[in-house]
Amino acid sequence: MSAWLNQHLHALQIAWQRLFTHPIGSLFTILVIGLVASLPAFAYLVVNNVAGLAGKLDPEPKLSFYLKTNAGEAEITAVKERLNATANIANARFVSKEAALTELESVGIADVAKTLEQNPLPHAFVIKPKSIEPAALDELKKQIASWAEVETVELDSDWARKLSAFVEFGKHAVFFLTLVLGLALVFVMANTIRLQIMNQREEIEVSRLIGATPSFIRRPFLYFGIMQAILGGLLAIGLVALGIYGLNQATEPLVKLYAGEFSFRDPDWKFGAAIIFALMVLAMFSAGLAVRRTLRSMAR
Amino acid sequence: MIDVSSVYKRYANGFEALKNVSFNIAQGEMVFLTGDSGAGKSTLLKLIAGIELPSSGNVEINKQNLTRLRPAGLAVLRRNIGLVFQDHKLLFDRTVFDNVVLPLYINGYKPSDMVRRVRAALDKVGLLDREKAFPIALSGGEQQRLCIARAVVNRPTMLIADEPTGNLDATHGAAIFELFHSFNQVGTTVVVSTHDHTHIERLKPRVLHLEHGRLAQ
Repeated sequence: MSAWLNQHLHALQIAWQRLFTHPIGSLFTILVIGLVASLPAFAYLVVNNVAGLAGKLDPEPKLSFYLKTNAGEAEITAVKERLNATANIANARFVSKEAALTELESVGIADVAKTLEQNPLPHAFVIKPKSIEPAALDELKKQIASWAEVETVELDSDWARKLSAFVEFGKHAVFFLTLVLGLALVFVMANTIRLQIMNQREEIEVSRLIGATPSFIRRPFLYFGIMQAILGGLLAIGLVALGIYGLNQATEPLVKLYAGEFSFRDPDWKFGAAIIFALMVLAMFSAGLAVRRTLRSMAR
Repeated sequence: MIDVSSVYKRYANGFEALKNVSFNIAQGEMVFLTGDSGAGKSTLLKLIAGIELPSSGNVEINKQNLTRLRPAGLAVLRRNIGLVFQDHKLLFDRTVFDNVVLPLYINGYKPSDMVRRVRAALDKVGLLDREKAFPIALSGGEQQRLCIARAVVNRPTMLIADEPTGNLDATHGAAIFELFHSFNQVGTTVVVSTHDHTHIERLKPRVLHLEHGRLAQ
């Protein structure tokens, strides 16, 4: 076994022992790391799940308009002619009330449809506009709404756009939260290690006098920080999984109401590894910072 | 081996501890630094060990200028220097064995080699039967011998001791100097500061005498 490996094994052994020298202190630090890391991790996972849902939605604006319920073939023909004469329309699809009812049955509310005595749905048109400029869309919406045969006009992409904008905002908020809490973690970990260094000050001074290099002194503190980061990371993953479980329980009735199959995804191993890796990097940075500052204040 | 040239040492309060000190010490020499309290003996040893830097002048060990060495380089150099302190600088929360094994950890020795070397060093200073004791349970003389065991466990090429017998009675003091003499007999360079002249007459080392920070001729 090389001297290098012996030194690392020795540093690991010291770090492991230090973890249990002050068990309550170590436990609190691990709890703080776990709790602080779980907040942005949970927020990231939620935003990512919602982003996935938003991604499945068609963000291209479409205009749907519904004819009055008493509209017949003559009204449908008249509307088709007006549509052909309108400039800002790429294509238009007619959805008869019968087709709409069949579509409704296919998404899982057939039972409700069967209870109806007659088809309550109106004939509808779905239009893809040529220009998606807000002003042009508004103009088109107003124009169609003014036709006598038309009951209501809806711009289908409105809520999808709002959801996408919300997801974008969420992503920025998570980034900012991660940045702030990451900084807080650096301070927490650096302070814990600084206290450790203060406790070991005498040993460090003696070690330096008998030939310990700065890296030899730094090493056990780096391993100590890494061990705390791993344990804190595992706790954070557990807390996130617990949070996602709670969220799924809470949203289940809502999802069932819309006959959907959406559920928030649990943190997978890649996500867990990323949390632990990020915490390890922060721990190494914090330990390095604390040791460098303290060694500078000691004798040569 | 040790080359001190035109060294001055001034402290921040203006006190000038060393004034234009120059000398050489060859490999395998045994040198006693003598002088009254405040003559500059401890300061000079700290400069040789790289614990402090000269205000001006150079201190070289094996042609390496200590003022130009980076912390890592200085650490590697110190692994070849055994330091014996007047206040021992022992770790009181560690056993005798664990105090002595520290330099071997720093050098990355194998665990089996560590045990063998520590026991050999403790045997040399007569503390083998106290390896599991804590330093607080040792007498002043035993603590000093423990400090020597830690200094020599790594078999350094140079041994530096600052007033190693300052707190000991004559019998224990003589035993400590006998130890230094025995290390010198196997080729270790020994530099010891003392104001006890009885050992000088007995061991006949080279003597460097300091007076008010100057080397007396």
